[in-house]
Amino acid sequence: MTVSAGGAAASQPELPLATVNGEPWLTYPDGLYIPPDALRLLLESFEGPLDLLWHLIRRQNLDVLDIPLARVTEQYLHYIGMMQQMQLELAGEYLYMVAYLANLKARMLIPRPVSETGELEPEDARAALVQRLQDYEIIRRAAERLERMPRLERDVWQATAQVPEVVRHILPEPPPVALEDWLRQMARLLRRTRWRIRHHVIKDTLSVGECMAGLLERLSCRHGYQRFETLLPRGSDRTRAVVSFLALLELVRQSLVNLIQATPYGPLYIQVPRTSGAESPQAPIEETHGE
Amino acid sequence: MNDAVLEPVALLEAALLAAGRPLDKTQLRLLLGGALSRPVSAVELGQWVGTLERIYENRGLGLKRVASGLRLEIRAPYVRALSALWEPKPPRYSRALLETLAIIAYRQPVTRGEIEELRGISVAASTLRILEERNWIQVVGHREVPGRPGLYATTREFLDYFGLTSLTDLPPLEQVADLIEPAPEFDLSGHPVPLVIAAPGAAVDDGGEPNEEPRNPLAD
Repeated sequence: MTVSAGGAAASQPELPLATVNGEPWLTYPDGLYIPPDALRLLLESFEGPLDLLWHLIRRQNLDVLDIPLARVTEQYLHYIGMMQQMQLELAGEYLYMVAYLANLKARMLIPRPVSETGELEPEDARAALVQRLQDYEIIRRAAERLERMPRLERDVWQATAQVPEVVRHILPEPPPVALEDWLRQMARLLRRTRWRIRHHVIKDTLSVGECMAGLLERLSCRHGYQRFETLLPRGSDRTRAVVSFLALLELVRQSLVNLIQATPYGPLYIQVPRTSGAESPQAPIEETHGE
Repeated sequence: MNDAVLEPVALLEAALLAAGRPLDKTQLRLLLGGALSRPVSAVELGQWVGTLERIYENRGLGLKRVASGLRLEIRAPYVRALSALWEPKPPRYSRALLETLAIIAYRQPVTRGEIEELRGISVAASTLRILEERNWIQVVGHREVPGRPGLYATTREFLDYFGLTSLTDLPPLEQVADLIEPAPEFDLSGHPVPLVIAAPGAAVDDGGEPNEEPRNPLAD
């Protein structure tokens, strides 16, 4: 039996298109019908219900909200039965999707309620589904581009000469430097960079996400509270400072870090909250606020 | 041993070849400075790198800047030509794995639950394990919600592997607009409003055109 993906109702007079369970089918079924035999193939090529739904919509010019629900449900349940024989954990997500569609359909059929309950109105629910499909499609395409990007092992190879093991560890350690030398260098560097800034156009290569990850990493390898200023990498320019600040705000918003100010106008402290109380870090200020 | 004057550019080449991994500017300046017995400035190093790049213009080898530094690599066309000789073949990665990786790369830091929400399907434990074993992702923190789920972010190794210097090098996300246009009118009588699906290929990927503002049929 062939897969009836095209779905156009060809007007063959009497010859059955297919025989399913002994019953002849004279017309192509409409909507989401997929012959069970094709399911195995389908499941192997789809990444979950969103992907399947996306495919069906694009391929069949399907109206998401005008699907023949009884048949779809029947079909889905049938697939789910088959899925249970193959991969049990898949079933739940596909089942959820059909329940979601059914719910959406049901909402569309009743007159628009005067919504006091705070539930999604059909228009919103539909928009939410569309949004999810779009978000997924964006990621699907990003993954495709990632797949095409030249990468080590497959497209380029790291060039290397065979070097005896002993030689591999000769990267010289920096020689010990006296503290004054460091400070003098730093002072010179600062003096010089002050003049240089004007002449350099530095391409902005900062992402908030990257910065967030960096901040978290830095915070979690130190203990206790950190002063806000110490978190900025030294020599940060304006842009980096701003991006770091944005990243920090985002971290606070997602409650990944705690922000503490013990006294009004006092310094800001940042800490990664830890749950398992190994040794609880010292609070930075002992005598604290009076409310 | 006749101590000929060391040619810095050749020295740079030799160092990268011997290291067999990317070397960053600091490492190179230390290494070359040590070999030449004199300090090497960043400007000098930059010039040598430029010279080496020109030398490699029509060669099988090439210089590539990645997150961990400068890498000497065999160029793609020659890898293609040679790879037939090599066994085993480089690993292929499933769509599930690449989509998961893409979500982490573009939305980091992100929890497993958020990945699953976006993909509409659960993330297999093996997928995350492979990504972690390859050192492409790591847990950088925990979200302070029940269960304290780990937050995943990509690593420098990930950038190196895909030939990127930073996350901003990732190709921008394509805009998927006009996939599903809102119905022209919302019928208050309660009939279902058909969703119109744009023809395949209608997605814009350059972002050159402003997305059509979806009309809000409910506004007045």
